[in-house]
Amino acid sequence: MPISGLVVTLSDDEQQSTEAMAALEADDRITVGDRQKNRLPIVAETGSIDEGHRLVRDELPDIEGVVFVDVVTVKFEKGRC
Amino acid sequence: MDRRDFLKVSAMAAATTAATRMAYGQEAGALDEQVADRAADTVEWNKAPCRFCGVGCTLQVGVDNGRVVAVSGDRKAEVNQGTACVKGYHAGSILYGADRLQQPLKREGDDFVEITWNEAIGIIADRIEEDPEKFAFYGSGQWTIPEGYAVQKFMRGGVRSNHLDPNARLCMASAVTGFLAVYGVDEPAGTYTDLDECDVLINWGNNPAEMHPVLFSRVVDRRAKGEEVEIIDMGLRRSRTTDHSQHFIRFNPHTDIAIALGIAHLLIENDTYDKDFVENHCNFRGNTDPLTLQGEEISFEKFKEEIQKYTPEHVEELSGVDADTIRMLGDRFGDPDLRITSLWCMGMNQHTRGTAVNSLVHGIHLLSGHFGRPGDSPTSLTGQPSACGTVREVGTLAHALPGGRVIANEEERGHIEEHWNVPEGRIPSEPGYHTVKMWENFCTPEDEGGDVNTIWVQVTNPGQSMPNLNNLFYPARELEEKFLIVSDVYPTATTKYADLVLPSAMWVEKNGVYGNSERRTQQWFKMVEPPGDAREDLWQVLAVARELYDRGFETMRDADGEFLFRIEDDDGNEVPVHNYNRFDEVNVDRALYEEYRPLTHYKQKNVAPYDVLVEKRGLRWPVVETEDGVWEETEFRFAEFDDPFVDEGAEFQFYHSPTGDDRALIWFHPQEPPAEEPDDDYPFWLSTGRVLEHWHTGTMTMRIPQLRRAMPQAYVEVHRKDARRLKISDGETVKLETRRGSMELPVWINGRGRVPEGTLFVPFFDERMMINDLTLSDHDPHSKQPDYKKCAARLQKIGRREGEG
Repeated sequence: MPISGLVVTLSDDEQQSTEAMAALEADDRITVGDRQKNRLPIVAETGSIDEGHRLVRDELPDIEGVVFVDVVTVKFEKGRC
Repeated sequence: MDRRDFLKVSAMAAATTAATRMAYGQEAGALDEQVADRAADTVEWNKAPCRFCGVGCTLQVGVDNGRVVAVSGDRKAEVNQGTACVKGYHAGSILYGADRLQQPLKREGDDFVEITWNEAIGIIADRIEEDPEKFAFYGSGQWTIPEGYAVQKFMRGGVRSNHLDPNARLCMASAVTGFLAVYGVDEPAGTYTDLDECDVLINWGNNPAEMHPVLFSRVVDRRAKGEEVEIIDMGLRRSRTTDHSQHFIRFNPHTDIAIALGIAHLLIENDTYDKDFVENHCNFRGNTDPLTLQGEEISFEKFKEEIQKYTPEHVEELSGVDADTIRMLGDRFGDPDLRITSLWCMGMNQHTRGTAVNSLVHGIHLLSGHFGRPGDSPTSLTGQPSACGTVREVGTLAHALPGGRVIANEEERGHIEEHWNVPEGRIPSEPGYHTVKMWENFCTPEDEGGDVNTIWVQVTNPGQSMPNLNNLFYPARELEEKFLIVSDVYPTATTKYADLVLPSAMWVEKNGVYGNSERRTQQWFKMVEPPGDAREDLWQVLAVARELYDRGFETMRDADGEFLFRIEDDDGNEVPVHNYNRFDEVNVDRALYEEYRPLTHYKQKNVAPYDVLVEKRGLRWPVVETEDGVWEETEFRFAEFDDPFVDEGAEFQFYHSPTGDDRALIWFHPQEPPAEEPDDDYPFWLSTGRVLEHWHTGTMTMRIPQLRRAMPQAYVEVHRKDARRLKISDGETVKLETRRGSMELPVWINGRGRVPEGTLFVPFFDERMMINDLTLSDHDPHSKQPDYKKCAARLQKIGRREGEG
């Protein structure tokens, strides 16, 4: 079960970034950390590597108010690459 | 706390640290908490360029009690503007791997024994004295400029061997030959400023989102500011760059040449080429038989005739890219109101026709007039921090001399001999062996013509990064007469096979000067001591030179009988810096850099004075002093509005034109097949490359726990349909094989990059899975750079051949 540490860059538009924060907090797979200006650290726990990729590549960038997603760390279960 | 919770907590800690640093740069909020507590009083911050890629981010390095405790992006740095990538943030940790080499080691049978530096220096001097012409030096674009200059002088002027080449031969040699073929002088006309100004960014076989992330974020951040920039990703597989691109254009391997020809065809066909620019500033060039880098003059009519057949439909047949997409590219280049920047790196360079495709991409920019305005530029990137500064400018290539000179030119050899005060004829007139040839000779018995017997390797890891290792590295280890010397900071795949291992200082354990991909020269000072008895690569070279001088090795003397590397204090007294406890008495870096600097003026590559660089976050050459004493850099070469060497009224002036008339050359090169293609026995394309977390062979980044955990091992990316057909599941270990070797490694279906059906991708960072046992040594005829991006391979479940189910 991959666990990823990510940094989400939020939009400078306050309303959009607030909505993005709310969307992220509502996602069971995501733990939201302390926002640092427009950078938001999050941890994503997904059921598979593929799901993790979809999340990072497609789902997170598709959220209105999310400008960029940086992957800081990805931790896999033993035996997975 | 269970393991899962622990992983989540540590992932959040890493993400928070990164987010804080990204948000606050080097402010206290950017530091790890434990460091922040101490930061105000005890941490001393100084600038240094990042140790990793060629982007050249400036970092602020925090030192406390003799140890690097924090690294932060430098807010004053134009390149990175306070940011750094995941590797850069962890750069401090590269100094503190548990297994740093700390003592010279000599091989005795299967073991290494510790020896003294005096013994080590003596052994190297013995090897050189015995056979100077069979001695070779293999370095890299990680040498600092003073280190590279010292080795240049040591080899050409002292040992009198031109067998000096860097790993940059494997990395950007085709970019060099491309620039030389087109402009007559190396290195990009534009700078990173083009990324801030372009309307369209085309990545040609390039994945900057992972390989040059800070640079790529400069482009993506423009969108956050409401600017529009269209990103076109052309490549063999989808990557993280694709995720940010409006267009992904997947082409058949080796057909980027056809695409460039198709664009040129459309510019002519649609009459959208820039007639004024072409008429006033360009000549046309075609190939000769045999091939030469100079080629032969052809007319515009002949050029038109040659590209006539590269219609969008024909290019579609060749490349697999649909004709409408080729037309879209033609339209972009045909639109004079757009600003277009092309960006490339290994995809175009690691190519058996690298010079051709480099020349063609320059050509479509020239033909369309998308050149010489901010945002209109063909620009190559480098993978190493000083591939430009040390390799291309200092000239640590087998055929080169400092400042853009070449060994084959007698007059240019004379410049250097005069500058070094050595007798005429001191520098041998024959160029040395390029990388592949050097290692081929090292792997060939002497009685069969293998005339390289000793190689001294510094700041690189050829035992992992050379292609086709089964031919170009391992065989030498079976030959008694061959002797391998390796200076490095950690045990590597190369030190494992060495006869002599020298422990080196690295990065901020020494002074340094690097030159990045945009002609920016950056300086830094030593901040911490190296561990144990590790010493600077520069000192190692000077110590061997002095040992030879003391033994009476005649060519370690100049024309007046003085030591070639006489370093003086402010009063003109010699300081014996070869004596290590006196090495820090003077700034040897400054002395060598200032000796080198006048040599950069010959081809208008004027680098800034050392003392000016001390105050700056780098300056982009040519740097010239204005009447009021300010040293001004140049953003756009060959363009009158910015380049001080362009004549007034010229608008554009290619003042090192190969044709001597201030014009750049637009080349025609035909599409030709690759060196190896998939067939019934080896049905897959295999491509190799890098990943975000690890830098090149991983010797540094695999020792950073956060990066190692993030990407712990190599893998083979496989398309889901291929995996299904071969009954291979995600994570399963498979056998990957080419005509040169085989290996076992785990499968990542789709993987981080998404390969198309019939293609495999393997990163080369993992020394436990040596993909370069399998790669090709076939190389470009001009640049001699091998092709790591495409060869034929097969994949099989362990114990079963492909197709057997």
